[in-house]
Amino acid sequence: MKYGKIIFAIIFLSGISVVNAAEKLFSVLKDGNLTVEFITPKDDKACLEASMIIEKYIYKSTGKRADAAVGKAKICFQIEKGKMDPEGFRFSFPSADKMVITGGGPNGIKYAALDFCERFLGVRFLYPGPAGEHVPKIKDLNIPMKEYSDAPKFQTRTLGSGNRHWSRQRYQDWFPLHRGAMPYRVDIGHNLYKMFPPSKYEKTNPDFYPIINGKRYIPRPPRLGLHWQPCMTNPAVVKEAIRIICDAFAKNPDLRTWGLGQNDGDGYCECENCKKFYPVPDVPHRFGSKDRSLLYLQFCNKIAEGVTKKYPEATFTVFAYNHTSIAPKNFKLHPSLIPVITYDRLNWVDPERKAKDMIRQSSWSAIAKNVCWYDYFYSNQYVLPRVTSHHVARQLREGYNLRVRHIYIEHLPLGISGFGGNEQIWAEGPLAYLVLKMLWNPFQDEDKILNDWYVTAVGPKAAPYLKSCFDRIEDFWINKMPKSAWFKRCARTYLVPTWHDYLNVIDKDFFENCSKDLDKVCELAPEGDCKTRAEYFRSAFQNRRNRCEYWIQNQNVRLHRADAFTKLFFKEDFNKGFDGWGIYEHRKYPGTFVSHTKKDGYKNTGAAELRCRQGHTGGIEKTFRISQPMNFRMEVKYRCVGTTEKVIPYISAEWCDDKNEILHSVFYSDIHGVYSEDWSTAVFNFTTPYQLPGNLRIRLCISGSTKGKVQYDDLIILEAQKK
Amino acid sequence: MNLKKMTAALFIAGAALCSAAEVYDLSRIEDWAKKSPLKVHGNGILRATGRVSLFSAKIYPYDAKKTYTFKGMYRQLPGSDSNIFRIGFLPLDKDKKLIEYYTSHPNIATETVLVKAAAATDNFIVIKDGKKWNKSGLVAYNTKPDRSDLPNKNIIRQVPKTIEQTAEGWKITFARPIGIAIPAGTGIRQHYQGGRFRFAGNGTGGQVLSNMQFKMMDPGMKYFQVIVVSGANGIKPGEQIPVIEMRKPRIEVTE
Repeated sequence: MKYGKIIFAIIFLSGISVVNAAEKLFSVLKDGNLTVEFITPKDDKACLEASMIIEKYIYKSTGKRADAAVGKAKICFQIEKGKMDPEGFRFSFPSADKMVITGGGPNGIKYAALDFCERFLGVRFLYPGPAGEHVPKIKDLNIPMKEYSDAPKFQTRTLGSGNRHWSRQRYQDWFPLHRGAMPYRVDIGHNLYKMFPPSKYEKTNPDFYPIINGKRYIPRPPRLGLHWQPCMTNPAVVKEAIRIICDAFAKNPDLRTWGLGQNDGDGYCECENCKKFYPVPDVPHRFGSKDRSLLYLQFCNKIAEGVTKKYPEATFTVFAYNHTSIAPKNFKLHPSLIPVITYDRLNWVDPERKAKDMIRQSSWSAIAKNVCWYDYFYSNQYVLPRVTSHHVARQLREGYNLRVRHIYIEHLPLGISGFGGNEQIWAEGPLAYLVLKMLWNPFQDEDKILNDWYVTAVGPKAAPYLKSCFDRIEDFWINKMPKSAWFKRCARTYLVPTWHDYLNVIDKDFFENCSKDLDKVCELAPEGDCKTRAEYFRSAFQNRRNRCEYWIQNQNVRLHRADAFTKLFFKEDFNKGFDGWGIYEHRKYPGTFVSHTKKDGYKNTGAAELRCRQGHTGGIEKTFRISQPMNFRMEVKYRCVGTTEKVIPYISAEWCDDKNEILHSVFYSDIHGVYSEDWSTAVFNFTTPYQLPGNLRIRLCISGSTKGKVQYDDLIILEAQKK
Repeated sequence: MNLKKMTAALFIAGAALCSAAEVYDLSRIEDWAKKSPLKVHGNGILRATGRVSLFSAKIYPYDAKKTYTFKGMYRQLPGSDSNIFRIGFLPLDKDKKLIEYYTSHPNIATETVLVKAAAATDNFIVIKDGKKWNKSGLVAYNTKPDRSDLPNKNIIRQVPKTIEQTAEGWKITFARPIGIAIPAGTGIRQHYQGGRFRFAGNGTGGQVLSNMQFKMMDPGMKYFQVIVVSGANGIKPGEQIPVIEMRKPRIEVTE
């Protein structure tokens, strides 16, 4: 038996050595010298750019440029259109001194180069910014001469960050390194208003526009793209849509996809023909909107039929959103139409919500060839980083099995967003990295990817502590958050990132435990890039911790009794107008709406008057410089004159930094007054942020009503020492 | 072949010739000025190291009705990523003389007339309307509102020191005498200042430039000379000396 084991071991080991000897290797670097030349076809920009990606990281790794190559071996780049997926690629070795990198298209060849850098050079693009780039120093590189090919599982892999903007540039430069680059294979967006602008069609084709409340509705600024849809049963609208799309396709041979996303909001035509497609009875569906799926989809079907006669390869997206959330039963969707199903799938942590969404998902899958998911992360607005790595990985796998082939996620991790604020701190660790990897192939092992990320980021000793910190955050979102009142209130398309009351269910020692983990990460990370990253993660978390703790503190201050505030900070009776006040108006809806009354105010004195205009938000504002930590109480009298009951009089306190840049939404507090024709009082307490000096901006505002006015009078701000 | 077929063949061949693009080849060392630091690297690949301004050996005719496109590919080798390279041309007039930027780029809003004759020794002029005048533009005289004077070499090469409205008109004061006598009623305006080169494309390390069209930016341009600039913004710490590379560089001229 003993000899048997020895003989077996000898045979086994000799077997390994035979395999090693048989494995041929292609040398790229030897003793720090480049041994290959890069060959690209004449005038092929995409191939040269792909070559440059590899050249760049070889240079970063070795300090050697491509022009310093020794040896005769070659790496050739080529594009093979039609035979491969346009974003797929292949590495092959037709001879001992030649490696061929083939891309299915310009994106494919670029992704091949990025894959080369990750796979063979060990490069990692951990997070946006130079510190997030990991380029190991290597001297020798020998690639196994085995053919290898790859292609994305999801055709659209977008973690959206908004339009190109300086504040988002770091992320927008980083995201394509993970093969989530433009152009998308499908065009997603509210698009009908762009196709049928009144400036073009109002005079010649007023019948393109909907009948609403018995009248033809012609959209006007500022609602050119909101709350209206073209008449979806008018054959002339369909004909014109087909013409517009075919013209665009003829002009651009690379364009074969079109977004048929309806305009945001409602405004569906109520003409007799359109009404025939309304459900009976016409009651709201489970998301609270009236169902217009049938009307919308029959319209999209006709456009798709018309266009595909000329361009059979064309694809179109249609929104499964708002009034068209639910797929109509027994409907035959044109095979070129791709439903874009909008939902924040963090909702799936609740089995009931998931089950309901799966029914909706199945109803779309039943009528469509494949579907697109539109999801919401809104990372830069969550005060506690919304890290849900494993949850998203599982979801993507499920999605792929449900024939989801396109994913668009409103990520917004950095920069200015529609919610205000300008986030520049990367606090969500490996989330985006993992999601982008899983979008390429959701059947990868997410733990393997995450561990690689942690080890590469901070070194093997510190990695378990970094993992522990992010696992704890994920545990909160998956297991604790669903018990919050916030989650219950957010039973809608997306969870609301600017309401932060999910923090009410956070464990008392949560922040301290995370901080301890990150202290340990900093202690154990080796000097150099790993240490830099460790300290960055710690400061990023500390920043978020401060914000969370501010929110919790502010909530406590809101509960303080009136007698806790004794000292007068500011008083305004509006008897002599409102000198020193500025006007706050929504940038999209400017206009004069503020006036002053001398006698019509509280107790027949002066007051500020804000006239309501089509429900738009506006008001007056004043800014104070604050240097000391303080608690405040703001009180103001108001009354509604001739408004609708939907009016929202509200007062707010917003904090800006020393340079008057608005801070994160967590530093914003307000109170909404209720409709009242008699004088009422709006009152709330708030506290100073941790970064002082800063600027406090208070506002007295209106919103919601289309007529009438709101009067504000006798504003008092009291202060109390912060304990 | 019968006559009809022959006519058709000749017509097609003629049409093909007419639509074929004219090409100014720049892919050989000799296509560039003699002192050029260019070196050949492979087939049609030219490289130059360091801070270089490369001029084409030839001057090419320019026809405003045609479209000119830089073809081929242009890049800097990795290692000097923040450094800028530019591809462009020098605009030349009918005498093959350089058209200076300030002779051909008027600030249209400043078009006016002199209300008072100016002597060469004066350090000021008085103009009818100086509302849109600024302290950064040079001053051109003998101007015409339809801009048919461009390129206009009648330039006071000074920028205004002060611009003030007086009872007579707008008084524009300079640091030194204007050096030329100009009669009252003469057309006058400000011209923008700019460099000698006009660029069709700018890139940094990591970028590949190709297919850069350029059009007449200067009235009166009849010829041009190609210029490629690399490493002009110095070498940053940690970066290498820039290497500019041109692959089959050429200019395609199409109708």
